[in-house]
Amino acid sequence: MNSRADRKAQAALEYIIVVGVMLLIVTSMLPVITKQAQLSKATAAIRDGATYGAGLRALGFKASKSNYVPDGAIKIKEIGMVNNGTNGNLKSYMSRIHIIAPDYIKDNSTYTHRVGASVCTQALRQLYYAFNGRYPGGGKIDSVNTSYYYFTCEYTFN
Amino acid sequence: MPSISHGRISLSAESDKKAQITIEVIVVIGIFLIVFSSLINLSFERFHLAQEVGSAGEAKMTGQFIASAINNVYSNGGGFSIHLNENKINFSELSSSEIRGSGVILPIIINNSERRVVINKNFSSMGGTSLYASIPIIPDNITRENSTLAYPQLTIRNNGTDVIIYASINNIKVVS
Repeated sequence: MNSRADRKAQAALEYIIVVGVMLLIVTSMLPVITKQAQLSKATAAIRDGATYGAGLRALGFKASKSNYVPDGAIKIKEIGMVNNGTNGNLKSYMSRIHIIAPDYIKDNSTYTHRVGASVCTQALRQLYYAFNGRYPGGGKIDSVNTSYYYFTCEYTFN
Repeated sequence: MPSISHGRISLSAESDKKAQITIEVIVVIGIFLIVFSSLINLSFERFHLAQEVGSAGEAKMTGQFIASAINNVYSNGGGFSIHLNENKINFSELSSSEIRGSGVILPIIINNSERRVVINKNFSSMGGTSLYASIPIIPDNITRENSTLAYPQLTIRNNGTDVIIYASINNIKVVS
């Protein structure tokens, strides 16, 4: 055999092996990437929903069965994702929403409960929409499941 | 691809290199598309949410405009009137769900006993039903009448006893 041809054959084999290993690495990374992408998407959806809920409450809009809260500048300061263990096969995360409101709302526990409930409800509704392509039926929503995660929501006032 | 030259078989490394790059590019592009498509979806939704908050603000502003006019007419005493023309409040645009509209559900309610103007806005595009915003007013003696030649649609007049709004019952409704 010509040694030049042998050298070419060896180079080709090396490339094939390297390609195979690279494919293996990339394919095994895929579930990790998908999981992380889902968590990022959920965080963004919760932020959008919470901001939307806060904006509507600040304008004074409420459902007919909801109770009165005075108008005021209600803003979302921060949203944190807290690891909450597992729920069945799913990893559980609780989104903790930090809300800023004027003193006459913040110092009244009735108003803070109503505002917090509105913000959390809208956040979870938007999260449901992000993963299901449609909004959930009417009524309160306490949690949302995705293929990897279980999300709940709580609020605090700063 | 093996090639035969002068009775010898040799393997070309060139096409192997090209095949490796192609496979890597395909997989990387695939991962990029997965992440990118979810971000695109989110941006469209964010835009839609922002639009909804904007039209909710417009609906509230309309209610505040009507409430302010009622308060002005009441405060200025008998004989005073204000006419809000179509440039100020256009009911067909107000109730439209198109991009020009505010999605307000007509009629706008004026509640005498609670002294409020109540705006009911449609949020069905967000999967909800409707939400209410109320704007306080001073008087509790408001009545509605159909418009006349002397008092066209959306004239608000203080006749010394009551504050009268001249508007169609489909647009504004007064409840006790």
